[in-house]
Amino acid sequence: MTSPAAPLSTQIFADAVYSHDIPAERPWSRVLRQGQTLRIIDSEGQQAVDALLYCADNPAERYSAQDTLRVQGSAYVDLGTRLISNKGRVMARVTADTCGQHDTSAGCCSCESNAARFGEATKYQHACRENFILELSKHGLTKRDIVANLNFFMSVPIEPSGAFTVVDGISAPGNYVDITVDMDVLFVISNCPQINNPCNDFNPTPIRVIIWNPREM
Amino acid sequence: MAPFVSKATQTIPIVFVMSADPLQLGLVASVARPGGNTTGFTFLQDELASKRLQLLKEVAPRISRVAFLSTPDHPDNELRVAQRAATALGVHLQPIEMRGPGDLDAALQAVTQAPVDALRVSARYPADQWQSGKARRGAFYDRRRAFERRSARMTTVQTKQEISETNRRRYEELRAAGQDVTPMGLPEATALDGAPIAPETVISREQVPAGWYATVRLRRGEALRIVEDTGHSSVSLIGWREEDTSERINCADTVKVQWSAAISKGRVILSDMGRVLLSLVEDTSGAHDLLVGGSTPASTLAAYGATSRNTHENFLSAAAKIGLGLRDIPPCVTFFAPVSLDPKGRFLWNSGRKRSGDFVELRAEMNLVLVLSNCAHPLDPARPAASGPITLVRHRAPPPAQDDPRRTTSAEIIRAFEFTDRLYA
Repeated sequence: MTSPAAPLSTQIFADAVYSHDIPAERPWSRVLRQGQTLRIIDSEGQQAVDALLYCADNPAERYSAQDTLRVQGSAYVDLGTRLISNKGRVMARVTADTCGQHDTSAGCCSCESNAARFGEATKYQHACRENFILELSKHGLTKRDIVANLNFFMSVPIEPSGAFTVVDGISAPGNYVDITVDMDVLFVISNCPQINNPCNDFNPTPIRVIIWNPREM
Repeated sequence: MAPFVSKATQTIPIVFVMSADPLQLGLVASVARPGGNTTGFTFLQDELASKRLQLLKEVAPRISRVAFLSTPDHPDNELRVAQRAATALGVHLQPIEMRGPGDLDAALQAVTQAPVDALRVSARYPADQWQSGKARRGAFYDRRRAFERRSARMTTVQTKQEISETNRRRYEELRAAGQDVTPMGLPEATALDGAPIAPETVISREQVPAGWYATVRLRRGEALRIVEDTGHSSVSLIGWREEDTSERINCADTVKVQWSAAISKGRVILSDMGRVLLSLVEDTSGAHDLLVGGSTPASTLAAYGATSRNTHENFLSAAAKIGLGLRDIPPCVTFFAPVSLDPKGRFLWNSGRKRSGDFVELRAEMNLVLVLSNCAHPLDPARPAASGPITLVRHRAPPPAQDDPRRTTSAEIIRAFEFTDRLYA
């Protein structure tokens, strides 16, 4: 495993076919071709990144958190985790991870759940589900298509008692996670705007995404 | 006062205490050697003007434009010092002048309309005179306590740092309430022979064979009892609001809002709209799963050597019969599935927590379409597959008791019930 503070290798920059900074609180999406790798960089640290994956050819087939955890036999996403679809196929794999703590059970924030959790005033704050709805609309998808998502860089320990807590993120500035896709995948991100729990250190910040093609064998 | 007195006499010694600059007022020749008959003390803090701006930039590093509310009639150098500091910090300082309390509304109007990120109030400004304000941006000011005492009506004037501290405090309070207090108030598990259903309230009764599914429509206020007749099976559940099936069961919000991945009697199942779908009004088991989900073609093939009836395909069939499809199937709750986690997050199966005759009773808090799949849980190690019939009893639920989740669970759940009630108000 690369040390968290290590700079990106020049190899990766040379191969990169795409690079983009996603501003704080904003969504992003792109179709990744089979074999491509997406690197998500937590540029300033402690920033939760909500993500959904859809099979590009048939978006009714999409990432399934429960299938992923069942196949893995454990509750957290980390290096080597295979991301499984609701049809039981491997959509992607986590091929590098300098953070080591990602969630897929806590879902995304929404205006409506914020209102229940933190009081009705927070209903009028931007939320990941707003991002997902807007970004998915570009691809003909709707709220129906939002399922339990991945939360990269988000720390949600589940105790043996079942106690379930979003705690302070552990990702340092520059920590990254690599996702290599096993099929053509519509990858959708919400750079989480939550300011009511510690997932973003109460201060949403930008992230960077980089895509590169598979190396020649 | 001192300037007037000094004009009146050149001989009687005058000692002043003031907030202004005695040099600018012509009271003294220099600070080191005042000369004449006048000397005294000033709590002039011009040099602090740059420090204050630095602090503001430190607590809110992303600010680039700062409004500076100042009183131009006051003889001091604060604005000039602040302007020099602003240049050094790369911040644009926009002075907004106020000559008296009567200018307050106009000044605040100017602040809210200017493209500024923060508000800095002059140290000279008589904060005690402030009665109310309308500024909504970060502010940094002296005499803060006096300001706060007198401005209960003032809308939030907080820096990002203050907002973050306030939100963290609220989060910690909610966590302590949700994890330390709420569990102690949850009702005891129902006894296996407890909570009989009055025969006259029963609407329908159905036994679902092993491997099969049932679709049940429940009106708000009706209840569904799910009885595990043999102690061998598990029952996976999904559901939608009848009037708008884009609103449906949401496991993530259910565990997140209740601070617990374990649900039991007194807990609720939430929709994705911050509303309560179902309340667990009776529960003999308390061993249910929201993380792993139901069986699939692949999981049965891997476990039993052949693809057998499974929850994924049951859900698909049931959804198709009410005009829904794969896109409408959310993660499910599985009852009578004693899954727990070890300290490393690996799933464990606790066979000892399954008993013949275990039941849960779910009260519909909205009009619902539910699908129940009677299949072995994918983590159940029994071979061949654990299986047995389940019995579903739909009936009119009794009114909420004193220990009902509607009344007791937590601030979050009380709010979720309020939002649910509004749908039907």
